[in-house]
Amino acid sequence: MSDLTKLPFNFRRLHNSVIVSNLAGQHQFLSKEEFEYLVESQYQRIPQHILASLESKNFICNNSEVEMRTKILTSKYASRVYNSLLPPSLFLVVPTLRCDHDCHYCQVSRVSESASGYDLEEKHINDILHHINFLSREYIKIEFQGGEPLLNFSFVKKFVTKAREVLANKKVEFVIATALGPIDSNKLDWIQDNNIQLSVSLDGSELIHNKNRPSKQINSFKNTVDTITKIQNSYKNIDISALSTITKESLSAQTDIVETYTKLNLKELFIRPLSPYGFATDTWSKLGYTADEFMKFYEDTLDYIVRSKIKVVEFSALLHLKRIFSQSTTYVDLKSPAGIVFGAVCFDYNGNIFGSDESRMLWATTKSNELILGKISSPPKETYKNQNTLALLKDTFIEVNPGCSECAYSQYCGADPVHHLSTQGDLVGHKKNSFFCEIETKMFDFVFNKYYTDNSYKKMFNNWLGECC
Amino acid sequence: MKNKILKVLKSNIDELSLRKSLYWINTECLWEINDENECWSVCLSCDSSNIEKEYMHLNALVNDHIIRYKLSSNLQTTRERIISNALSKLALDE
Repeated sequence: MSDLTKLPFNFRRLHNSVIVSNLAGQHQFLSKEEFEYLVESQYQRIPQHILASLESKNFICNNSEVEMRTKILTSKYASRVYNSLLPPSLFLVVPTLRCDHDCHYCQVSRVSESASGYDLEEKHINDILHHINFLSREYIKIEFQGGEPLLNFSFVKKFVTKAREVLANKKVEFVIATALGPIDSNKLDWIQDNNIQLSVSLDGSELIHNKNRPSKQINSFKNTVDTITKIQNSYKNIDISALSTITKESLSAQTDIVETYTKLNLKELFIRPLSPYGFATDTWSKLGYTADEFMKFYEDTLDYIVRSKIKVVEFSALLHLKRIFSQSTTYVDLKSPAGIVFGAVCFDYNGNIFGSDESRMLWATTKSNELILGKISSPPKETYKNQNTLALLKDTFIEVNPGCSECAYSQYCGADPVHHLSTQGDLVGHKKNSFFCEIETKMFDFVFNKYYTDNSYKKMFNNWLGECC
Repeated sequence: MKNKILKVLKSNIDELSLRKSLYWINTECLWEINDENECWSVCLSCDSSNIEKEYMHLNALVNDHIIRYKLSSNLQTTRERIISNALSKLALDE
């Protein structure tokens, strides 16, 4: 025992326990006493199985092994950074900014359905595919975002047809993010025939959904529920997923969302907080909340799922679990360096290219051209190594960011420079005042705490990891 | 506004670690560090209804940063070497 020595780690206190983590992305859940013994090097007082675990995860080692263990940590850390720097696999295409909904929290600052000059022209299709081909590796997800992409359906159809030719040697998935307003049987036939997935918003009960997502033409909730039911009955090959954006209205109705989803037999639920972009920046005082209020709602919702044994996977928790247990780097928000370009690239309706969907959202209200990486018409080789890309990325290694460098969650969290630019006016942000930092820290606290202290949660989380990894 | 003073032995924590603790103090509070021979003296000023809560928060933050300071005095160089070597390795691979 006297031969043991510590290797570098960060720590964070939970209720009666402590999480320690290291640069390899490994973690150990300790009691307060075990943590004190570790700090004080009283290794003989740490239970043998915990000591063995700490040693196997490179938190401690024999004095004679320090060099070798340091090399292992270096290699594992390099591998984690390398994985964050792989080319993007997610490409967002905005066929139009027009929309048939008037969502109060619209983050993209949509325009009315009849507005002109807000559609992506079909002449750009070849150039966009040229960019995607240049940037991507084997697996690609192309997501049509809006506005409402179905309002420029001819573009979507031509794009998909052309993409299947140009990207024939790659594995491509297509997703349409839609509020389902302008959908009809012809569109659904084509969507099914072309193996397109649908991602829809469903914010909870009729009252809450229609308050959040009003439309002048339709009852949005009824249309969404009816269309999902129609798809489930008649278009069984269409993969449909839904997400819920939480507003202040939702906070007092945590069971509504789960009940709405289970009634519709939806097996996946994605609960996400409001983001400070677009109209949500103006309506924050009306729709927004504190991180504590959101987390109280979130925890109550997950408690309801786990206690009632409902078979639904909540994706926000799952993405955090995957980051912790399988070191996944697919979730754009949780990347270090940030997911600008490395996480996703966005081709906007006006010919601009952004390094993330949030960048185009922020540009829509600020017109800050520093957020633009280039133009769709520019050659890809000249687009991604410019000053704007470097400026957005250069301070996003959170291992060295103030407030993050000593955080036990720095190996799982992300930098999100665009969030901090939007809310604080600089890319790094003061983390004490960061809504992103507060929400993410509380999410990791919740996930770690429940995983290690509540067997029902542990079982549910392991099932989710097993089913969805 | 009400003031409370926290004194910490300099042998337990350096100024940088103390400032890292204060990074997390509610931004509505004011603070000042004074160098008093063997101690750091932190004067915390807050709204009188919050001063006790913020003072307890400061205490907890400083205590944890004392632990971090103690750990980093032995391990910071190793941590920096790991990060530096890893990034150099990636640069060479590129």
